Amino acid sequence: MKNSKFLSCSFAFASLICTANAQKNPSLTDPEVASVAVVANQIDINYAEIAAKKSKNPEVLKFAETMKRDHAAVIGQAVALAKKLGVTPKDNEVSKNLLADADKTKKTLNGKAGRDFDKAYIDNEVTYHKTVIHAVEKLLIPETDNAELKKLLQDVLPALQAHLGHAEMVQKNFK
Amino acid sequence: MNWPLRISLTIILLTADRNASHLIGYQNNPNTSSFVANHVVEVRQMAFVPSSITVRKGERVTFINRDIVRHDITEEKKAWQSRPLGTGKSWTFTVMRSADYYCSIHPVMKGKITVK
Repeated sequence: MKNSKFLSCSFAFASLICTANAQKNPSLTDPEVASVAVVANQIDINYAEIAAKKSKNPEVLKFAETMKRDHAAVIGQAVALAKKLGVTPKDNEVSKNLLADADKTKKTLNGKAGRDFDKAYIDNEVTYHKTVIHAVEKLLIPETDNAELKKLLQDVLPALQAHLGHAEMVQKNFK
Repeated sequence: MNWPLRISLTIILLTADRNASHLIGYQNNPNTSSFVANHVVEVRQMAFVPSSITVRKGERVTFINRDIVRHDITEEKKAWQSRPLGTGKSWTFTVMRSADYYCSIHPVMKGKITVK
């Protein structure tokens, strides 16, 4: 199965970016941006939890552990900032679509085992991080009004890029 | 200043030498009464800053985690390794030889210490 089919959540981001580019005003409010940020991080934690249960590959397990811990730290930062700003993350079409697509990906991952699972998980992580980096750069940061929320999103980018680099290192073992 | 008291002391060096910007001070060594240079490497935005430093044998390097996620500092061949450092935590060690190092939690993060 190709990555593009696997990572259906990328479609939710991609379609929104296209919409944002095509129209001037499908904009997200800051509470909606906060919701998308939390949901995107939680989705990767959920994938990592599946990997922790199904994989026996030490590199994959270590990567998954890092994803779980780092994305939880980002959520913690986002929630603390939202609290400070008096912002309640608000569900929206993007966050709902992300969750719906992630459910499909989780089912696919849960249907695999052994090396097939490890490869699928890491391929998904590479694609997911590429897509999220693109979405944060091209959609979430530009759509954010509050300076502190914008800075948090900018600060998270290097972590996402490091995760992508790490995932690509692990992925080389499955070529 | 009362030297015999052996009070741990750091002298902040304000230097115009940008290459030496990681060198923040000297700390006295109570065993020898000599001063040992203390270098600082910050971990921020998923990078070691500066990523390459030059020190003398026996000088100290302090790593401070300014990032939002935890990191460690691991010698390339695992000759030495820090504990995982949470946000705001630091780790100091005495450099005896040149080393390439990385973060074992995020292996794309790399740095270098050269002993001159």
